[in-house]
Amino acid sequence: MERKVKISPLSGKEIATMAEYGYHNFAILKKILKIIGIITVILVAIILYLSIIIIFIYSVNSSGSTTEFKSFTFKWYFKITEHRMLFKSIINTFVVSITATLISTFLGTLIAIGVFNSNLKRRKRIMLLNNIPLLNADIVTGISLMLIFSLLLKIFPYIFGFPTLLIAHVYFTLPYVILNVLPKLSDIDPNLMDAALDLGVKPRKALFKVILPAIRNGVLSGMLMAFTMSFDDFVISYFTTGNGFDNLSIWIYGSIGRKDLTPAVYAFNSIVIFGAMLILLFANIISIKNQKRKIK
Amino acid sequence: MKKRTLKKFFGLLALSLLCYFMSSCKTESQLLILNWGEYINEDLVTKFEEEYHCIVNISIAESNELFYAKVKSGTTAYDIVVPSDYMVEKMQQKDLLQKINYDLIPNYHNDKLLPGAQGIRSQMGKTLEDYAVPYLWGTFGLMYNKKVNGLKEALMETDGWPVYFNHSSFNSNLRVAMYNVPRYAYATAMFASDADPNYVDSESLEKAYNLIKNANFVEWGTDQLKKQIAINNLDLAFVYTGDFLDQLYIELQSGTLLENIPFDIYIPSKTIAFMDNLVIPKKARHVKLAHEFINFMIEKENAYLNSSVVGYCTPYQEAYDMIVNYQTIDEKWHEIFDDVWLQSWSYAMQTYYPLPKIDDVVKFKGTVLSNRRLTNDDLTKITNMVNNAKIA
Amino acid sequence: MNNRFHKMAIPYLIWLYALALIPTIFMFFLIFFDMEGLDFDEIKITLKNFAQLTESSTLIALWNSIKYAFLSTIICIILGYITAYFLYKSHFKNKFLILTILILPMWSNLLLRTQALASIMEPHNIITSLLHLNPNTQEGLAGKGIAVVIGLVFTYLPFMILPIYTALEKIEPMLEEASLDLGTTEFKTFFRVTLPLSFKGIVTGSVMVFLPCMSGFAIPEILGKGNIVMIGNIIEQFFKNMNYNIGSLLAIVILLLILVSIALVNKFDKEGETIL
Repeated sequence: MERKVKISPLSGKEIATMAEYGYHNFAILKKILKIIGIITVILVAIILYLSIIIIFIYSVNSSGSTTEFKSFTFKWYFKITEHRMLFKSIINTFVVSITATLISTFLGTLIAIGVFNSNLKRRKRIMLLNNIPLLNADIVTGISLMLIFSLLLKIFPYIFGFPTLLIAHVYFTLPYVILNVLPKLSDIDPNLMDAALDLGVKPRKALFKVILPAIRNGVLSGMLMAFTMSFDDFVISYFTTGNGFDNLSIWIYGSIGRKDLTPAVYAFNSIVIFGAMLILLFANIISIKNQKRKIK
Repeated sequence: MKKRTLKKFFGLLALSLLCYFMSSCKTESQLLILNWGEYINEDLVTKFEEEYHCIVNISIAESNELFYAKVKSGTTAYDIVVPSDYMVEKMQQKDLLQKINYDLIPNYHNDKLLPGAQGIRSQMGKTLEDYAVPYLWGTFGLMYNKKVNGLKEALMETDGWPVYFNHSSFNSNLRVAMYNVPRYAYATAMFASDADPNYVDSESLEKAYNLIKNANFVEWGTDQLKKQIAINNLDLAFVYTGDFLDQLYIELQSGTLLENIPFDIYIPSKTIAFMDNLVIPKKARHVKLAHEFINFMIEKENAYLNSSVVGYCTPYQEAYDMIVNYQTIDEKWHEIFDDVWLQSWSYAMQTYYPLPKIDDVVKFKGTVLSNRRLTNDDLTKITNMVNNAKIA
Repeated sequence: MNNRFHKMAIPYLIWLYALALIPTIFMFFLIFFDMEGLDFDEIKITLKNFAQLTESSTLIALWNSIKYAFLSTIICIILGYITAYFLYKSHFKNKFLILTILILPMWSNLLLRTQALASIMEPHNIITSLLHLNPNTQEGLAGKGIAVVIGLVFTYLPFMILPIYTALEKIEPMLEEASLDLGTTEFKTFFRVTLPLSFKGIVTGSVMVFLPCMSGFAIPEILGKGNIVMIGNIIEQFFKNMNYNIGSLLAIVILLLILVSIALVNKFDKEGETIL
């Protein structure tokens, strides 16, 4: 592929002879493919972010209508805190999602290590069951969890609300963490742990000092997936919550139907997305700087 | 992961748990309400909390069936729920409600209800009066696009339903939409064929199936329908009159003049009427406070304020009079609401929820849906019939 | 590694039995009963729920679900593979950043995103209003099958890109180099080495896209304007009408399809390595 053949427009014959030797000039085709690739990536970017942009337009539209643009305003951004139920549901969402994410990241990592060290039979059984929360229809998961939690009502009359919601969210976010951590575990050099143990490090300490740093990326991506799933969930949350502990999705679904949504919701959505983007950008700049410093 | 990271991790965990315990340790002393979304004036809730030194916690759901599922499952001991007529009936049948102690609600009197609300209440039946206090009420109607020439006249001439179900006779390009609840679709088909919407047999199902199939609805939606008509993506749709008013108020508040509003609603003489009621479930823990809350919400001025935010019609005559005769109300209301709003609100109530005239034979419009005579199988049949008609 | 750690998996197995398996069995029993909601006082044993499976709306909805989910999966494979391959070749190795960019849109509510998408498929919408356009057409995309497919692709594409990218990332770069050194062209190398090695990513991604596409109800309802009925809509309707028996029956039908898919994944990817 290193050979470069200049094609003169007058010498069409020579190209034909090159082909006869079994050489195909893919330069043009490659260029076309590259262009297709770039177009696809741009298309995918539009696909992912189109609705986010529309929601942003809604959030700066003064009329509050989702079909007609009146004039530009930021007033809805200040109304988020004013709307009592909306604001409360936002707080609830953050409390549940963050707690559930932290718990399932912690437990999920330990479980993944456990699964990795189990025998093949148990490992297979766990991985099969692990797929159920991941792939089952939300409404089925939600109702089944509600049924199970109802059994506890006799003992704990106030259990519905934060505790049940938390358990439900841990339940359906754990598989994401486990599936993200497991492949990283198989990448570790098995001698690493033995070496640490030979050096007299206690197993628990070795776990934190040796294994965890090695699977850090898997844990982080699992954590991100877990937070995303928990943050956006409606159906499971709806059936498993109670005692007035509504999250944002429940509030949004409940508000649609009889009345129009307040544009403050769109404003909140935009803040979350753009805030996360800024943090991401910032974190990336810092990590690039750190890398440069290391090289120096 | 370093130790510091781990510390941070647990710190964050502890912090969020602390947040939770701080925010919800008072669960036991809260008045728990299950309501529709954006269906209450939140300032009134704050006022109630201040006056009665309590915390009010409102959850929301988007359908009567979900209300029922929540109350029935017993996962939460709600103190007040706001179901519509037919669901009050069902909850009462299943023995989920407790009787209202009207001695604790001095603000309520049956004679203070609007004629329309009284009509719905009498349709709901005598026994239910002991269990339910009216909250807000309304009808359904046919919202239409004024840009379509002759549509208004055609609706008026035929009382709506023939044009709605057989629009090709009027204009084959008419874009017609239905509210996406199978039970409502069945009821409209029964209105169109002069039958009882609360009765089901195979013949009526067949009739409804043919009507719905041939109507070729371009959309089955809920709250989107009103917006679609307002922006000229649809021409005719069956919607809550309250939905229509919501859209009307949005247009008026953004400065559109009444005569330039591109849509209007026609309420056929046969249509669905509904009333949402305040009920107290049997398992409620704060019964006295719940009564106080109900009494507070139906007080004349509070009912007025509540209706101003929600947009649906109050069933209480005194509050209705305040809206309609806005010129004579206290100066303080003029400080809260601007005159444009008061004027358009008054206009809307008089036009779309008119008081019956003295010589009117029929005192109110609309039939209340009731599932009393329907079995679970009938409801399944209706759902299947509508689905079959959709895909046919 | 240390074998003491295997004990950490036991509680999770018990947890899964309690929260995943028992409810599934419970739902299986619900199929044979007739009651309202979960009202066990008026419970009756019956087989009539199975009649629902012969209802034409159920069959067409099931067919619609499979058809649209299949179409969406194919489109996702094409778009997803090209994107993942492009990312893989771009020497942009910060996987966490890629993951975040793909997943960030999901931090805004699914319902709001879908409604936003539906509204711009109408002839008159916020964009035409913003740009003062006056559309001539009376008909938009919304309400047609293609709108549903677009909505499904827009929502679930990240679940296709991520596994394919993960699978590509795992390929030893030396393998490709070796293939090139041996004289095969880049295209042949791609088809003989890269594509087969990333195939399990495609399988995992397909399942991750296909299943939610098939069982979801919000997207077909909003983008199909209620005129396109998929099996998820019917299940939701029955659960909403408190007919948990027929709801469970249809949910179990879907569950069977899910089990087949899981078996498929297990065949190609024993460890579940590439799921996400």
